[in-house]
Amino acid sequence: MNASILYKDIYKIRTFEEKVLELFSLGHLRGTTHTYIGQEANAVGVISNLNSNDFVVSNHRCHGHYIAFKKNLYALLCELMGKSDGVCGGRGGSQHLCDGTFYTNGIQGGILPLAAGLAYGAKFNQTGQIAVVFIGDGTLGEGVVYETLNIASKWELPLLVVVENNQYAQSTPIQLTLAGTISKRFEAFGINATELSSFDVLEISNAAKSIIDRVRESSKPYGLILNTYRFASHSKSSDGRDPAEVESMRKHDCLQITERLLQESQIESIQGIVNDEVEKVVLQALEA
Amino acid sequence: MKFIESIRNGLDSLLGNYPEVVLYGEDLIDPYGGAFKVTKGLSTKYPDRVWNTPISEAAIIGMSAGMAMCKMKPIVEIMFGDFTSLGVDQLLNHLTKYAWMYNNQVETPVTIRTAMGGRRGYGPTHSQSLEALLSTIPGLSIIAPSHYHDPGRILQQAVLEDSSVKVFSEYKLLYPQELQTPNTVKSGLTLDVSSDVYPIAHLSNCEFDNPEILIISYGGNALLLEQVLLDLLIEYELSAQCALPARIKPFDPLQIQHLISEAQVVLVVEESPKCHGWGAEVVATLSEAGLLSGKNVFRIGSAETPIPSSMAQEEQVLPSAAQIMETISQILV
Ligand SMILES: Cc1ncc(C[n+]2csc(CCOP(=O)(O)OP(=O)(O)O)c2C)c(N)n1
Ligand SMILES: [Mg+2]
Repeated sequence: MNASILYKDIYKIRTFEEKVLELFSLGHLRGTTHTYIGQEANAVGVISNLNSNDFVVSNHRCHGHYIAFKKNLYALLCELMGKSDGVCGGRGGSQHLCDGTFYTNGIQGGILPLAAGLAYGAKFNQTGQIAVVFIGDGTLGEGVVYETLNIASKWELPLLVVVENNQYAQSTPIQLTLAGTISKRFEAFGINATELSSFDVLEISNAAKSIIDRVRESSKPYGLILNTYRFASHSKSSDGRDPAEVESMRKHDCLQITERLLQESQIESIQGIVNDEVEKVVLQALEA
Repeated sequence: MKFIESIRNGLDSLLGNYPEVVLYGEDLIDPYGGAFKVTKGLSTKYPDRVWNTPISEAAIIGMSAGMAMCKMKPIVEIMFGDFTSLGVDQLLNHLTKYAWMYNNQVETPVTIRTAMGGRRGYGPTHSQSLEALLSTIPGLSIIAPSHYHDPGRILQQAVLEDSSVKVFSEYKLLYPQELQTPNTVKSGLTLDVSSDVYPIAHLSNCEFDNPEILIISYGGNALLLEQVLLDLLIEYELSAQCALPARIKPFDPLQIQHLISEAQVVLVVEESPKCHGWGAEVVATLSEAGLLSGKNVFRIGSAETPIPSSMAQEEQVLPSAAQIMETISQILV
């Protein structure tokens, strides 16, 4: 996978999300919004290995997954702003997106059965598609997650479950709520899982590639646990984390890590293109 | 033909003619064939499309949406209606939301079949009629035929032609009942079934169309009400009619309108709890349509307690023919 292509998507998500926070403060968005700042390498690394007709199912923190998969910043921003040009005509807003084979919902864990059903449909119709579902560490508290893992394993569904463990669920650190380990949860259902602590999009992409190939070829579920960190607060509310902790994690910024793989001129050119695109989209969306 | 055979034949015909139809749930494959034996024989005939699931109501209901988005036509059997509660998040926050919140980019034509109702001694958690509870979920259709309908045909039409998320409620005591037609109804009663996709069955103890008493109900309550109609005729010489819509939500007042004008008493009977029940919705809808002015209107439903296992105690909690007769006689006799 080409680092400059991956960098472009990471930078696009970062720039878009920062814009979203700015527009929110200016009163152009209502409700709430959960930005993906800090976790971009996960979406980009995994989704860059998918076919365009695969199913991607995501959660409340879905803008990054959407951009990595569908790339339509204008339709996304319009959706966040409640405009009719939005991916769902403004009906869904930030947590409820649908575009082609991309679906999200704002109920923790409830999306797993949808993803498993899509995987079932792909297998039933022999289309060669797989389904990928993204969940957070906190979502491991929901029972329906385990109902679905059990079924996905037993029925051999082409389903990749990506757990983005950013160590927090809203305000609650994982130490307060998670018993045992995440990988043993998959193991208990006979599902192979890989755990990766990486902020390097190439490393994530390489791991994801072989896993995705395996899911597609074997038609069996797989778990991918990505230990990660978010830099922005959970949503629009205050961030209760120790600022020193957040600061110390900045050295693991996937954006900067990817920049080290590129030349100055490449970075400048990509940033220029993306900045222009985001600027244009913001103006367009404000006028829509 | 019996009610259970009609549903089984309906499923058989769906599976036989439409390769996109699948049927799954707990314990429904042969030789067991389902807790109520509705699916007996089907897994043998269609082994790839009829299968058993783990005891995971939320997941199996939820998965049906993904299958439907892949152009399949899933039918999910939930063993007892009481267990639909474990899938309520999926019904409320997922299945019935997707099509609308995704701005009609997807369709979720899913059918959830389930056995409802008491009078079999199963006790508090296996006897409920949860139609009223489920009916509060926006966008969810609820179909609950009686033995005066053709349940197998209604099921087929629901699966094939109705793109909404549907709960198909099968009253347990109806399973062994013979389906009734205008030619087979008990003497003293007449039956007329409309030609709607979701027909309304009119059961009457008189020849004319505008009885003094109109009872609106659905599904297995018809077993009680056929007796009530005969008792009213024999004991009090009162003309009464029973309107049984096959689809109870959305409830269509137009299906009832022409029956109601002469009625002095309008009664809504359900086995769901009366409090916040289906009857309240029916009465309010008819009232808003201007159809109830000057009439005596009553609701009869279950009491606000769990359903006891003991038969004698259960009688006190569920609606009874005696209770209905008493309500009517207090007004009219
Ligand atoms: C069923 C349900 N319960 C609670 C919430 C409120 N909520 C939204 S996000 C969130 C935290 C989720 O944490 P995690 O799964 O770790 O994802 P992250 O936000 O860290 O990406 C909570 C509690 C919800 N949306 N759905
Ligand atoms: Mg988290």
